[in-house]
Amino acid sequence: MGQRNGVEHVLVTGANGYIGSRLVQMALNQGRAVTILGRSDREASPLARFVKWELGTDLPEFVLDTNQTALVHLAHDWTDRGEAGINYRGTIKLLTSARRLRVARFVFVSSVSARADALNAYGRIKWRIEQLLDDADTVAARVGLVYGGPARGMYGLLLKLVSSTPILPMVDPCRLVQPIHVDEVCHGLLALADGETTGRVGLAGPVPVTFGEFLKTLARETSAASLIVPSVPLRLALLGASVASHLPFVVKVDRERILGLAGAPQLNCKGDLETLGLSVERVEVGLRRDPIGTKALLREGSILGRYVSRRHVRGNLIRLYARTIRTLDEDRAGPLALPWLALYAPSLLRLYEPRRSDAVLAKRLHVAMALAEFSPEGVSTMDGSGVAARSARLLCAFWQVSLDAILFPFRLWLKR
Amino acid sequence: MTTIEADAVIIGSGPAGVSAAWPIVEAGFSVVMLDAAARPTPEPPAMDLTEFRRSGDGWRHAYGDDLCGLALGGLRSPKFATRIGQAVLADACHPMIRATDFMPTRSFSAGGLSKMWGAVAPAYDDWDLREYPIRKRDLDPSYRALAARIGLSGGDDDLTDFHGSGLPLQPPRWLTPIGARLLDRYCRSKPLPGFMLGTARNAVATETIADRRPCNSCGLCLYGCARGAIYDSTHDLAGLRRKPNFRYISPALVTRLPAIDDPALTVDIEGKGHYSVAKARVLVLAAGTLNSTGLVLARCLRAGRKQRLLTNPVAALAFFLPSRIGQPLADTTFSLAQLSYRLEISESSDYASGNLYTADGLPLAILAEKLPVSRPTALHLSALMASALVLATFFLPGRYSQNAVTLNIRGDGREELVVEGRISEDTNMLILEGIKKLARAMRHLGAIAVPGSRSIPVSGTDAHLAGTLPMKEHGEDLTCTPDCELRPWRGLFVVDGSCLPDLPSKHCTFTIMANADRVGRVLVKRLGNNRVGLSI
Repeated sequence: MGQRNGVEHVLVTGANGYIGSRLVQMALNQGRAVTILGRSDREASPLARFVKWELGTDLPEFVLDTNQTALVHLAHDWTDRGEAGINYRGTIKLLTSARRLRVARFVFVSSVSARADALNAYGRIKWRIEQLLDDADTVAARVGLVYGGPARGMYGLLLKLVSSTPILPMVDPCRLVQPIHVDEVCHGLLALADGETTGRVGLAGPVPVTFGEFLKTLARETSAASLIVPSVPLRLALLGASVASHLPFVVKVDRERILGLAGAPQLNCKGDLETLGLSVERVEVGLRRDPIGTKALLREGSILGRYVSRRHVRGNLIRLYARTIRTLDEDRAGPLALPWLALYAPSLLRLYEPRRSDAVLAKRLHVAMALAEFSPEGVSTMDGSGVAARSARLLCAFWQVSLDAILFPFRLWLKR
Repeated sequence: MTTIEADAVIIGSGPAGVSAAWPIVEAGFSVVMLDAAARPTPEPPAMDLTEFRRSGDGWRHAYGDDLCGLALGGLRSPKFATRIGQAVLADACHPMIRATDFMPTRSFSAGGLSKMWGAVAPAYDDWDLREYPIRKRDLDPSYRALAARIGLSGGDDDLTDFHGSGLPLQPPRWLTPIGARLLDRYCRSKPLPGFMLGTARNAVATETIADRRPCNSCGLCLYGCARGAIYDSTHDLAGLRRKPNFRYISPALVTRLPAIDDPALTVDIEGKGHYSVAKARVLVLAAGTLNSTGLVLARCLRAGRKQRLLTNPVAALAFFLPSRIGQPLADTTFSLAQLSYRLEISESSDYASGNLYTADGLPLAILAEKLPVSRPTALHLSALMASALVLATFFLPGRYSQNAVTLNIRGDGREELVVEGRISEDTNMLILEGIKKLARAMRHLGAIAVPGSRSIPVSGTDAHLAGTLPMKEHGEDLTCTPDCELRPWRGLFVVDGSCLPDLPSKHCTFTIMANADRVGRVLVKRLGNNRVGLSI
């Protein structure tokens, strides 16, 4: 790392969590010393120091090598639903003992849903704790809907949901959320640790999107699939979740999570992000940097390749396809939202193929076709699938054209 | 600062440059050729068509290593999308060009545009040269010398006189069954008035010439000829470089021509950051029409003055032979012109002309793109249709083009060439009418026009750019003398397309080369008996 004027040592609670593990990695990558405060060092990075600590207890006495130390408090006990419970009391203890150890900065990770009257206990607890932090050495980061990186936390749950079904009923999908990539959150938290900002700072997408749109983007960018997000009443969703919790093999959704989804206010955080020098990208841009974004484009290549060459296609062609789209389609290099069934039966795209040649899917199909032609798979198809007799080849072509003609009204209807 | 001294300095290594160089070099004068080429052009595929299709690597040649060829629209010649095409057209940066409704084709690579040309090489006759201050007999020795050097192949048929008779020809071994069949039908049927068909006249060797191996109909013409059968000027360049009195310098981008009153003919060269000055007794400008015009206009600061730019208004049309639909793709083919035709234009003594190509060596995606069916069907159909398709180009004489080129000094003080293309309504009508006539003639030969296949691309797509500094018997500044010396300079000769005063519908490259050869011979006389040794 080059010159950095910031804290040299970061203490992290909740370091095994979705954000925490990423934060530890980033801080270490930046050349900072990291101490993990937690119950177990099972998943801790070997490069970080481990100190045994549990929410609700004081920090153990240990010597800090530097007074350039910040504490990022991410730990949260989900079983605690009381407003003066373990989370609240634990944070007070942590803060007092940290000050005793001469920790210079205390960064509390809160949520955009933190409100006195939040629907879920999580939002109310976070709000309650925020009220404690009004001093010059403390700051609360109100984090938006976090996505990206490893499939963990709320993001992991949503990924699992969007990839398992083409229709995902959701509580109030028109509600606005402020997605932010986990790496952007970590950058923001470290910037807060380095800086002198106090009070509440928004770490969330500056341009809110509807939750339904967010889920659709997630489906498209991670599995090249389209998603329908119908609205369900909150009560029904809660009922569904409690039924699901008793069924085997079904994704379990915590009641708290659903309530959390139901009501998060918007936060104007443009100014905060500017102060921190943090740019928060749109969800699709963030996801395309993740390995999962590449995977989705490969999946699209596989579907389109199988569709145009009417046979199984190999990795070479698929990778070439993804590379081509990345090179040519700079504006929107991401995967397309293809019908869910297309993964299993690419030939169904015949119903879905756009008629206009300037449609994005039409352009992608052209690329797939142009590349397939130069692949062994495509050559086999063009050779007439092993049919040698000219009459048979012509008959086959006739059938193809007839099929197109028969399906044409459906295509029109579907595109409508 | 390095100084180059030589009898003649030639700017550009394209067909015009090497053609002008030969007579001067062979007369024993020292010649320095300055070439902007900074990178070698990529190697063409050295395999046969079956191998090429199955190698899984053909996309590199078809669309370039970075696949940028796939981004180009369908209205361009498929050559532009290829790896070699992209390389030939890359890096052209000086002067900058702003084009509206025009495709400014130019090259800064060794061999220039000949690295991707169609190799159609007919000679002009006196009718074609009627606007020229020279006659066919002035060009004849050059045509003959060139034909022997570059290797012309073609048949003896109705178009022999049209393509130029009396030239040494190699047999057209590249003619495919589909081409032979059309020609056969033409010979046996009653001729349609105003339509003549014959074997194309190609600069393709079908017998061994020097290091070049004869055409084996591998069908990969589009991606560059690994055998060297298709002529390009790097073949001549290789021959020239073996001569002790010839020196080739690259990259050497000429950024400024000599001042009008500079007897030393000093040019500014930019190459790898070095600047040097070449002093020449004669300076030959052969950088290609757009590059040469840009240099000339920038030197005399004729900003704002519109120069006429000739191109051949062009159209393309596809035909199919019903009896060949469904034939498997051939293992050998030839992707350059098979046949040529001459078509009279109504109410005019002018004629249109064009060439017929087979489609089985082209990427199928180019055909499939235009079929209004689903993509899998389109790919399937184009594989069935490819061996039945005949693609036709249609060119009108350059006088029907209405392009202009202007020098513009931008806000930052840099020069910029503004090229405006236009195809008038009348020209469009003429194209449509001509195409209709062509379709009628082809129907007569059993080839049916594919509905919706007609395309009229933007001006300049033909890459036959000419006429900005036309040679005239008596003319004003910025025209050439009959010896192609640019007025008002002394000792500056223009031999590329810029010096052509008129552009018949026939392909112009062979004549540009012949004219450059003629100018080379003139220069030999001019240089007299004093020889300057090479010094760099």
